[in-house]
Amino acid sequence: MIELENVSVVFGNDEKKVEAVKHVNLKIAKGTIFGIVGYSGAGKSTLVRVINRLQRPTTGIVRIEDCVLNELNEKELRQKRKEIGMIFQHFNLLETRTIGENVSFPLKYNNISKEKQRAKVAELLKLVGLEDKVDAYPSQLSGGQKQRVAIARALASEPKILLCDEATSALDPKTTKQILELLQHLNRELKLTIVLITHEMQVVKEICHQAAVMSKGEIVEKGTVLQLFSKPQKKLTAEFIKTAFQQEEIISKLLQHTDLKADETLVELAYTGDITNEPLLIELYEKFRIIANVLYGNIEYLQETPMGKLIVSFKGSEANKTKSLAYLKSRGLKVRSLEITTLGV
Amino acid sequence: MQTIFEKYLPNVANDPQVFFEATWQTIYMTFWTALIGGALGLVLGVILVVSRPGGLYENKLIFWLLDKVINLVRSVPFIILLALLAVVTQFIVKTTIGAKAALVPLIATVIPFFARQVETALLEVDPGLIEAAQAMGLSRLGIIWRVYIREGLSSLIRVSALTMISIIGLTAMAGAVGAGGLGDLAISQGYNRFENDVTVVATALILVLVFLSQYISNLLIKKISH
Repeated sequence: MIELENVSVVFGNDEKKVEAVKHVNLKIAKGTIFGIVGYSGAGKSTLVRVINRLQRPTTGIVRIEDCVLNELNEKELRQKRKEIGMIFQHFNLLETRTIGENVSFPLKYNNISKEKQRAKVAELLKLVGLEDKVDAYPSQLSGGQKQRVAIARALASEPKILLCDEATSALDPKTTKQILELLQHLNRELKLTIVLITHEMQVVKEICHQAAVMSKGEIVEKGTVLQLFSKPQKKLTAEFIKTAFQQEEIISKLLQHTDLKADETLVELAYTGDITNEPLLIELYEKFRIIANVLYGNIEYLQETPMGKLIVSFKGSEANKTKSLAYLKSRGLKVRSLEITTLGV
Repeated sequence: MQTIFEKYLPNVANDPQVFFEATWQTIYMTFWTALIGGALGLVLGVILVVSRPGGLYENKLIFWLLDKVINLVRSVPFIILLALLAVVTQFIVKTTIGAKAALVPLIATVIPFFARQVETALLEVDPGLIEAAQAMGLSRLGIIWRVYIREGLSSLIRVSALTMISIIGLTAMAGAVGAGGLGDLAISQGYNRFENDVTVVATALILVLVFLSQYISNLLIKKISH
């Protein structure tokens, strides 16, 4: 468990003060993949560095299990850092050393025999799928391969936590996906707690269990990824979610070409979980004689939970429309009436 | 062969022994200056890098002091430093003339010069690597040795060659305090006695030394960089 208690980081002096992180409270449970998402300059890089004290918090407490990081001296901190791996946007591999030497870099001077080091390197490179690159140099690898090496290196001292600082931001979408799959695999196999910061909601959607949205040094919203995606409370969260789905544009285009009759109303339905299995639209007809015509539909899976979105036109009497909307709400759907003029947001 | 040599380089042929002596003196001064000045310059260069704001051993006072002293010493022309340091030289090597006496001002000039070069070379090392090493739990000395020096090695060799060439140039001026060397030979014999062939051959020998250090450094850089 990682706990941040009222953590603030202030840069500069009294004249030019910059509050990079403001009063952040976070609890990250063991074994979860936790995403921190925000635009650049939101303070997420600073926040993630507080966890291994690469950045000393100005105020507040950082706790990992029962260990208060603030209180450690330099030697104790170095020891603690070995339990916290970290990977970076630009990989930060040592260019003058081979892949094998890079991976064994944290093991040197730790009283580990040469044979054991070699065995460990082989094991780690196998884990990340690069066993044939031991003697290659970083300059001979692609971006995705470099990040795999960085991951292997971060795992060399058998950490319980892995911090990822924009680890996929320099990679193309396909490679990003592969790296994320690898991280997910490590989370399951090694019970690794992963804290991942990113500006891409897509990344959060792909692998995170929980996430926090950050803006101007503050955490504006946090919760399970499902909660955030299905019921975003803040405008910023909704904004990020839009970027992950890229469906708004399709919808607005679609609606521009739809002609509604006088007795038709446009409704957006959002739902999560088991309800996706139920024939709700048929029920509407049976109960309220409402004819629902689906104009757009989409289902995304977040951590194996389906999350659906439908845009339908309702045809029927006004009274029945109101009743059916109330019924849908009572079934746990998120219902929003749409007017074409308000669309295209 | 003998005749051509005597025809075109009469003064050189007359006394070739002085060239061996002068070359030896130049190598002697270059070697000791490079060794002592290089070692101390390296240490100061590293201190400049780690004591600067945001460095591993951030220390405003040391950084400021070192920065200013280096700038100060580097502002004094070498030929003046030779005279200026005479007292110090007398104290350290018990004489103010000869190749040994020239070592003191040579080293005093090379230390700040090389320290700046080392600073530039080490600042080229990606700060991300330093951060990664810190995150791995490396000690600060470990980071200096295993990241700064090791990853900056090819840059360090490059600036070492540059410094070496600069030292060879400085030794030519050391003739002013009777240190001898190829530069002194070119001036005191070649120039003052109108023996142009001596100047030409002395210059050629200096160039050979310069090219040699450049060649060796290129070879080393090629060997360690990937």
